Amino acid sequence: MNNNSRLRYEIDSFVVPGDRLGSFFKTTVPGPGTSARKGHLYASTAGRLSIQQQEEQSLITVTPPHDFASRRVITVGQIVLAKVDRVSWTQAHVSIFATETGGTLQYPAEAIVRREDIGSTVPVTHTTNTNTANNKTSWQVIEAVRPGDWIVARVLSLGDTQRYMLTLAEPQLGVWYALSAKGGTVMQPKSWNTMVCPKTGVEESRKCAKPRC
Amino acid sequence: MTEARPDGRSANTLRPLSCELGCLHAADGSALWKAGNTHVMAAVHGPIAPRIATEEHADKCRIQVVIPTSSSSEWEAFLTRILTSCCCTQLYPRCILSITIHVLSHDGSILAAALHAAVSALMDAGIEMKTLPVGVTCLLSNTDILLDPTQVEEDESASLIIVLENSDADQMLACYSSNSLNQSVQTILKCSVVAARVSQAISAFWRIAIESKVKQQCETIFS
Repeated sequence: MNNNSRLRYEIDSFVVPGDRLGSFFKTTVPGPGTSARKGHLYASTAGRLSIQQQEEQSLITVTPPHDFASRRVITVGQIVLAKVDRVSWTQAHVSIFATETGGTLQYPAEAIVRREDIGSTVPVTHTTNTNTANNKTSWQVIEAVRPGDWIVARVLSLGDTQRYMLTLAEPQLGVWYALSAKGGTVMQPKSWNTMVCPKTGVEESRKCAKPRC
Repeated sequence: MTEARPDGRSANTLRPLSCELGCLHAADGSALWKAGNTHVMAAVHGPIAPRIATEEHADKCRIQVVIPTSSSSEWEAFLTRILTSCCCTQLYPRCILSITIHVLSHDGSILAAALHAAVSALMDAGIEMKTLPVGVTCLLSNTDILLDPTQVEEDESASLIIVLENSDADQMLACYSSNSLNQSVQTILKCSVVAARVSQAISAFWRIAIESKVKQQCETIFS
């Protein structure tokens, strides 16, 4: 008996929240737009019913017709775009303006990047036999980011009631837009930890984001 | 044989329904619900970050219903409880969901219309919901139970709103009496049996309204 016959609605048919789609089996898994209650699968959003076949399971999904505001919610693990507001010795205070999956937020959300979440000053590819216990391997916050910089970060946790917590401890995360302190022009990344002003040639320390194709 | 009501309907007949989705462009979701001469508009803003940090919950979304009319705090609390139980609030942690309900024209069964407008607006905003609450207003007359009463009928007798699930009409979500009279359990059960039959018609109408909106959008996008 195939999974399609277990569903109470035809594939690509229109369902609304609360519609019982079918029974919950080991081979039938609730996907986006659905929920499981009391051994049954229910639609939780209005849209078209579809099945995505995975290895041994069928993912039941309900696809809404257009992009909703509810998709713009910040969740743990999301990559976000934020602007650095102020910097202290222990952390950087930033404002999240957009998420990778949901687009621009209606209001900027406050967040912090702690010093220990910026990452190591030793690049991932760098291997050495020398004892690095005495060496400085964590960033100074002011060397990694500065006020006015735009950063790409990942949501580490939802934090407290005040602000989210972000991390930059990945090669593809870090500063991707910064203005030079003297020239005021947009700087270009020279290496993974340095940005250079094309007008004056002055180098500034930054934790640069690895370019993503 | 039950006698005809002032507008010519039988006891268990609803007034003509109309639902217009996405009527406000500034809101994330909006709906205009019409039941006869009762017109209610609802606008949903969110999920958004709250302006005040103390307003948010760490693990779920907070739903805020606002009806900008006098003496409506009881209605706001009632609708907030129902919508909180029906929405998948855990999907939107640390957010607030603001629902503003405007009564444009008042001709009876206002709370049920407000509930339907709010739910329609939530669906238009794409908020995930466990079930759709269907509200049916029952008027307890001397001889019969009248459904979807007008303002004239409500002024004469006590009315009772029964809220049911669309997926399971036997499941009662809430019950609200328009005045301070305490209804007996027998009366409530009697009303819920009548309301269960009508709720399926409202659910079917909802499906048609939403599907037509989706088809209209698809035609606009792909034409």
